[in-house]
Amino acid sequence: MTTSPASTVTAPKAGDTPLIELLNVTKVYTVRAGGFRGQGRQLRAVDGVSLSVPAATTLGLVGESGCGKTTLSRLLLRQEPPTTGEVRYAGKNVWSMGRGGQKDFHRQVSAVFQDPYSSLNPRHRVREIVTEPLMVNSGMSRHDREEKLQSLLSDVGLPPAAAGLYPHEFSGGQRQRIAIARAIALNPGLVVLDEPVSALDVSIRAQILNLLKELQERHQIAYVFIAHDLAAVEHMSDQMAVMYLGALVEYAPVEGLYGNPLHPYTKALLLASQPPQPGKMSLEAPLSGEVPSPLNLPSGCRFRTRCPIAEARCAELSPQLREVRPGHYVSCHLVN
Amino acid sequence: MTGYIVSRLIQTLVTIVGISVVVFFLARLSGDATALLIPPEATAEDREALKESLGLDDPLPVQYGIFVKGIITGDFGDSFRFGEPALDVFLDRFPNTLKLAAASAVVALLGGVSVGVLGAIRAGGFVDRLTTVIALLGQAIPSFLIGIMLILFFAVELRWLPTSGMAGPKTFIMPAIASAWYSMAALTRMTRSSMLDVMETDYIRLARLKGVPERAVIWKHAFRNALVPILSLFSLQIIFFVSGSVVIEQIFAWPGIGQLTIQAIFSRDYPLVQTIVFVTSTFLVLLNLGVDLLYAVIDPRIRLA
Amino acid sequence: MERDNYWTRNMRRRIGRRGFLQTSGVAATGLAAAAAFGCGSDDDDETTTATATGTASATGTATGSATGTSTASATAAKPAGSIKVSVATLQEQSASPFFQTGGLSSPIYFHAYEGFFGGDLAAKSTPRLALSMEQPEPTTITFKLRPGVKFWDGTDVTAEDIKWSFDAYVGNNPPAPPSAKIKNSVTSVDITGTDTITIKFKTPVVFQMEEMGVTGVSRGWPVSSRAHYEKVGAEGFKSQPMGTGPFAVKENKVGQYIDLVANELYWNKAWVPRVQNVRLNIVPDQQTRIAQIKTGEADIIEGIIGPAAETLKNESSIKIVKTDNTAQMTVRFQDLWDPATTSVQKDPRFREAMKLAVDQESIAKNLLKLGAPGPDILVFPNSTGYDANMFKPLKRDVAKAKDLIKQAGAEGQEFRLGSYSSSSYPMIPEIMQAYASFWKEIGINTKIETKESGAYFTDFQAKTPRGLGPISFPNFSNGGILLVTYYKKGGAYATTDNDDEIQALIGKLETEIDPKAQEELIKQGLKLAYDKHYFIAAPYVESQWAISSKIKSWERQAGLPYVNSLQTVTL
Ligand SMILES: Nc1ncnc2c1ncn2[C@@H]1O[C@H](COP(=O)(O)OP(=O)(O)OP(=O)(O)O)[C@@H](O)[C@H]1O
Ligand SMILES: [Mg+2]
Repeated sequence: MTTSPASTVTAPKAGDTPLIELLNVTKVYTVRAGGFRGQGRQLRAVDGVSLSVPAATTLGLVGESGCGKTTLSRLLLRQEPPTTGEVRYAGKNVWSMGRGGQKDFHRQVSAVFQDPYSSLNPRHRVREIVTEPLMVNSGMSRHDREEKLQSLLSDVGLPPAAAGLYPHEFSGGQRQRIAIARAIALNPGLVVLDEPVSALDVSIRAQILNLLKELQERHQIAYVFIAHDLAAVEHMSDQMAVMYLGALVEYAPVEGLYGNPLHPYTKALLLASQPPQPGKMSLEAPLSGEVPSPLNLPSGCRFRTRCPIAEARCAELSPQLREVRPGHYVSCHLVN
Repeated sequence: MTGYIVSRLIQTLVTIVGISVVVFFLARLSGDATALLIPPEATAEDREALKESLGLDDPLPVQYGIFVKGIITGDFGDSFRFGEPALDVFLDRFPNTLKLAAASAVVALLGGVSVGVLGAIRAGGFVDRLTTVIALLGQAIPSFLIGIMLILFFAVELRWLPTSGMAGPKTFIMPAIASAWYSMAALTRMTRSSMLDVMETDYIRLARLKGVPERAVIWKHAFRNALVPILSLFSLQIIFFVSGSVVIEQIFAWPGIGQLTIQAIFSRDYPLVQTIVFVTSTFLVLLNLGVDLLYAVIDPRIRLA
Repeated sequence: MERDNYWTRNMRRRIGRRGFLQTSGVAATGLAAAAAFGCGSDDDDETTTATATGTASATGTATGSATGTSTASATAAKPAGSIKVSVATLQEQSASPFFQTGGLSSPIYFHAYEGFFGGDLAAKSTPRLALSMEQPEPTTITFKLRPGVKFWDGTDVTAEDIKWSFDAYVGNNPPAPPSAKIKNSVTSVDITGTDTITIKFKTPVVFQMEEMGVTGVSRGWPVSSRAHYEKVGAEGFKSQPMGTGPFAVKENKVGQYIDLVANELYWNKAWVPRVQNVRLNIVPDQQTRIAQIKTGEADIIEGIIGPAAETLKNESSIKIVKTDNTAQMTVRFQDLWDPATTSVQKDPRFREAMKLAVDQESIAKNLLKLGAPGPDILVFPNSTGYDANMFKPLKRDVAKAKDLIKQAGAEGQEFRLGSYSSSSYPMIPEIMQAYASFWKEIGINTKIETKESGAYFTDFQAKTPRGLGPISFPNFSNGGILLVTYYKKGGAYATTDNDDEIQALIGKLETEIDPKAQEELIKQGLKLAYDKHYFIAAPYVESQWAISSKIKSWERQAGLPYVNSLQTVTL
């Protein structure tokens, strides 16, 4: 099977070791294919991905639904062990670090998820929700915690009185603010944002995104920002990664990627996201056909079945992620 | 909150009035009370005389009026069979049923929840599979069989426990297990699946991500949220416990209201049937009200709804 | 054979040898006593079905002598020890003498209370609180009271107590259901001397004797102490009643148990209990009762039926005791309730065929695992008018049955077949299924319709169902009442309403006061029903009890009112 060499993507130099990096990480799920005792089939949700997140910057991650973005984030967050490859935190394998390392990890890495309803325990008040990480991970006094809580609430734009309320007493956007307050409570180095605004009203998405950006600047947090909305990703990100069926197909600084997309899949995605412009009709439906099942990946290039420019060799050889311009990586035989 | 309580109270009152009507007319649907009370060789006049003395010759609406007046004044009439005020006959037994119900509820809840939680946190493992088997058995083996097996083993074979009757704490063990058996299995399944659902949610993931100890994750986060479906199933089970199980009472010679109800229905002891059904239903309706108010405490979302 | 056969023998005895109470002033004592003693040896040749698997009684002679003053050969040792008896139900739930709701098997009533006369299972009535009776005119009975009878508390029973008890009984609120009948038929109860009570009835009907307990097993009214009642008050009386019976009520925990204690002052020394304390525990489930006798939680258990009895046979320390013929069941032709019916049920050949198709033998042996085939009429071997030669159980004869079905033109017909579960007769639903298959063999189809017993009886009494329906009875010995209740037009459970011949005969019977002639009429009536094929019988069943090795003997003496009277249990 296709695996990209671990070394293809290196952390853009930000000086020190990246907080988190993925080294040629693959996650395979065994799914029971219907019936009983049906033998398990292998689902490659993430396939040979190497990534690192530079400090205080945002890595945008895009791709169609089911391409493995959430799985990737879980690997990053040490919620799932990789099948092969390594997830590193501060240069150490997260699955073999000691208690101290784990504690550190809990402090430094945090997340905000898509659904503001299921991510807040309905039975806890905002106070408990936001300060729980502090209780578990810091020796703060009650008084200090309360103070911190208030500063967090004001950070995310919630009134002090919110502390005593339950999640259901808030709107979706406000809930997401609570989730953010919790995520940054321990001054983390990295926050994984898995579609943090997808579930929200369009009208408030921008507010939340701006809040996130503002917090990043103020607290120097690195983000992994997962989204469908390419415009949002562009707005938020410094680096960008495009995923297709579990693998990275393109990785570049955001200006490079938007200004000059190289992979046919990236092009198609960008085209699809643009509002139709009068007079400028696209000649073909850029993304036709079904996404192949991750249980049964196409041979060679995994995108070839939908690729408008696929050639014979695409069916044979699996393309590797390679640096075609400085900092711009792409995995396609036909790009040079 | 007060608005909620008031509206629930009104609902409860309406329900109770409804119950009184249903109870009264259903009791009379079962047939002629005198047919079973009087020796077969009695004449038609004997029968009429008995009817008159039992107040059964009045028109139904009049009888209903007397019944309602009785409810308000706490006089449910005399049991035809027992010759005592029906309420006394009932209240003589009801505490026994309640005691057993409490014991059964504790067994069902503790057993069901602990086994269910264990199954959920070890999902797919040996314990989990064992749990599933137990839960299946619980629902497949009828409680009378469990009861008889318990008696044969613990009373006849080991001589640890008395076969039946209601005396000391020892006598509660077998009936409580036998009557809790089915509910325990159902609660196990419910707990397991409800816990698994909750364990999948993002706030559990986030709690773990933040290094919250697993024990706290399970009990503080997961269990408290898994509790609502468990409790609503449990409150249904309570209805069975409180109504008294004929089978369990029969096997363990338990002096509860299950047998009493059946006997009263079969012998058409209207006053007693009415009393049992009305008081028990009212008790359950009030219990239900209590549970609803409890929900509101447990689940902040319900309070405002 | 001797002792334990007594019961069976007695039941099989023909009424001819039994005194039927003379209503014209014969002192009943002697007569009843004679009846009781008369069963000594002459019946030994009538072999009995296994009566007691375990011998429940030890010595022979005391049995017959139980009545009254004549002899008291039983040693009146001081009662000692205690036993626990597990029963399925205690019938009447109240310990109050004035609210006894049980039917014929009323353990509380029969152990604690009594009336003027008392019958036993063999329909012999013996004097109790009365010494004798007279019937100076058809509507009047005068009882001469037995002197020296004491209540449990040692006070004397007076004529005032008896009259007061009548008023208390019929005036009890709520009324004891059986009291309605007495209340309705009695005009007055008067004290007509220091030791005589005179009762006047509304109508001169012979069978009201039954109500007074003079014949059969009924009991008149229970007698209690006015002074005691006034002392403890109406409420206290319910839990602390007073009576004259061989056992005093110590504590009645309704629905759980009743504690009885021996009444050493009982007037009949032969029936002073040998055991001091008796607890009757209500244990409804047979399996649990069986477990209890194994663990020693019970010394005597009631109601062992079917396969369960088999499991006890291997237990060396447990014996099974039987009482024969405690219940009978018959299937009735319910189309006959409609006088205008055109049903094939009107054809006696059809009815006979239905009888012939049934294999009672195998039902008794394989299904019930107890009992013995009975004749196809509603009667008990101990009933007045029963004649073993005249009323033989039919042998199954499928060929003949098929032939008769053909003659009647009934092939392929279908009937509804009712079914219910009875407390007096076991396994009715199972038996109905077996019957359905017997009838299928001769080309008659049935559709079984099962109902809860109360609803079933209501329908039956209303005579609304059509087709076929079973109905069971506990042992009933007064043949006259049997006919009037179960055969007479309009009788609650009668299906011979539209047979003029039988009705005419019953009409005669009701006005006949000569016992001999009465018996003859009863026999004729039964014979008519037998010959005209109105009933399809199921086996007579016995009741089985199990006793532990703690019980040395348990005689079932003649004259004891209740089939399972516990006075004679000896440890
Ligand atoms: N626990 C699991 N077991 C089996 N398969 C899984 C599991 N989790 C994810 N998958 C599969 O892995 C693939 C990637 O899923 P993932 O949730 O990572 O996609 P995604 O890119 O986040 O999609 P979306 O945009 O809809 O959130 C999907 O095919 C999914 O069905
Ligand atoms: Mg996702």
